[in-house]
Amino acid sequence: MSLLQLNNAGRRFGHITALQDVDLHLQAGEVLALLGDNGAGKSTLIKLLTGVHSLTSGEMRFEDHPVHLRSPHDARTLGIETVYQDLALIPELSIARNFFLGREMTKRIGPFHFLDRETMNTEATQALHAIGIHIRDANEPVASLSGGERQSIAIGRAVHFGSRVLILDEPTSALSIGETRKVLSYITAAKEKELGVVFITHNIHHVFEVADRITILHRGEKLADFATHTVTPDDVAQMIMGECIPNHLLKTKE
Amino acid sequence: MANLLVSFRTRFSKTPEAGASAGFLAVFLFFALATPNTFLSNSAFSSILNSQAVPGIIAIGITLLMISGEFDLSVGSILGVSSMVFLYATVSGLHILIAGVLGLLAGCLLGLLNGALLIWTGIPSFIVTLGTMLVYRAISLSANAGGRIIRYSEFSRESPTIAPPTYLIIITICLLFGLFIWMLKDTLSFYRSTPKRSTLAIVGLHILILITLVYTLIWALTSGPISIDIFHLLNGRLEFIPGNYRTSILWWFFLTALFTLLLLRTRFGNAVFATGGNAQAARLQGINIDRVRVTNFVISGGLAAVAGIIQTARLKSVDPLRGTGLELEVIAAVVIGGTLLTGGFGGLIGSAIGTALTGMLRTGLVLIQVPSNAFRGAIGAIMIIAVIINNFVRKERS
Repeated sequence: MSLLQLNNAGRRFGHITALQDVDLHLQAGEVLALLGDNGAGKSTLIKLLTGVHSLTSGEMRFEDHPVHLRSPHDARTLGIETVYQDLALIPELSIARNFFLGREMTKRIGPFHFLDRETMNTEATQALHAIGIHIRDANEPVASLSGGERQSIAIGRAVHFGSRVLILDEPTSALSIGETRKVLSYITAAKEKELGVVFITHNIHHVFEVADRITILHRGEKLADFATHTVTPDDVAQMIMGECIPNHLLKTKE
Repeated sequence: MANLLVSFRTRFSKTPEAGASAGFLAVFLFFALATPNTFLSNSAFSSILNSQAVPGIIAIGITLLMISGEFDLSVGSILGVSSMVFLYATVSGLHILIAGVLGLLAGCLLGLLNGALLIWTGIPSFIVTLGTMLVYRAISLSANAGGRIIRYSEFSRESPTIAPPTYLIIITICLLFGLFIWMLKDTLSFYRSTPKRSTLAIVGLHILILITLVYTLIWALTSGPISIDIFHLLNGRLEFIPGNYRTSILWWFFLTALFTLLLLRTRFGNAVFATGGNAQAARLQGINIDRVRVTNFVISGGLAAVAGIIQTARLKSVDPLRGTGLELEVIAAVVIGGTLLTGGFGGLIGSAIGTALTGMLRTGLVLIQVPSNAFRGAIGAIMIIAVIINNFVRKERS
């Protein structure tokens, strides 16, 4: 059973075709690396999976049932969490409020519902602590954090709430070597928890460390789909840049 | 002790109202030293607060909108239309409560139209509400084509009153008491689980509510037939305080407290900050940013209507130009109060302080015999200085 699947998926913006006839499948407990040059359609594909854009052709299936995501809210309801390239954090809001943004915990007083700030603060601190992110004060605004700290908050949030699928759009771009190690270990941990992970990156070495399978996009179409152990980093680099599949791989494809 | 003071200072400097409070103190001290005899008086204070209750109530809606990254220039015109609807409905013989609801609905509807235009067209709210400011003004100008002042006294000598039967008041008090007990149960269980510093304030508030309920009940049972003067309830003299303070001040403070609770302690408030702070991120986290914006426009229009009704209750008249130019004074007050024009940061306490500050300037400048024409210039200068100070404070803390 596929956890998440796209069949002949396409997306047009007016006359421009951003994505065409893309097949994609993701199993539970699998890490799929999504590669491609700039403008290959990675971002558009991510936006289809997270409900930011809707498909203009083809279909999307979640656990073998067809689904139509109309908003990011729909994707989150299914248990699909995303770390966006620009992190999707609100600078002036506190760490805890960012962590619970859109699903704040409330306490009921009579007929009214008020934010449960104490519980949110402790839960955010504990959840981040559990995956190795230590914060000083959950009340601090995100604006006062460094780039790496912000990235770890965004990742921590997705890891905590993502129950089925975790999508990471270039999560290591702003990170130091140590922090990058940590992110890769979150990916492995999510895989062990039987989540499906889609991992977008430009760094081929990271792909070979954590990914089970590699899907390469080129100019809005799927160019190749290989199990990681069947290819070498050089093959992959060639496919991303050279726009064609090396001859010695053609036999093993499919 | 010194430690406590430092921690208070760093915490306070992070709040949006820090700059406005400092400015308020500076302006207050200036006038207090310049004209101590006239400025430091009950009549000066009451005139400042009475005149600022109307812009203060409008400032609440403007602040919410501005925090969510939007703008409303049409509030002065909405106030004009709602005041007219309210007074026309009253003098046409409709029940005063129905007239009030109609005035409020008019404001909410015009606010909704602002929001709908913004969502449908995608035009910046500055342009949308600049347009509707003119259109809404045209409504009150055409509804009263002669341009003359319509006075309540031309139609009736009696103030509009409601006379609810005593049993209705008792039932209402019982319902409120039930709500109080219901909330008390949740508050108690919450405070038992987390010991707090503010327990004393909470206990005090509960006792105050309880006393008020019991007092009202006794009053309703003993005072015979009850009639409530609506104009007096909305904007009459407060008899129990010496000086000329009016009930509109209480409405201003009450609404500021109520909406502060909404802004800082509810999911909606969080969504307002998120929408203004980073709309794209808010959307990606599942927040319906269009709904947040439209709701804020409705709140802004509704509060402009409330302000208009409260103002009409005192002036007992309406003219087609009522509320003209009010929007700029209110926006200046909100900006002085520390709310960012670009959204994502601000607060209602700051807006209340900013509104009080502009009122203080108006009265103070008259007292030190500056020509009243200079008032707008002073507001403008203070606003620019306030933004410079607020920017400085914000840089300091980050």
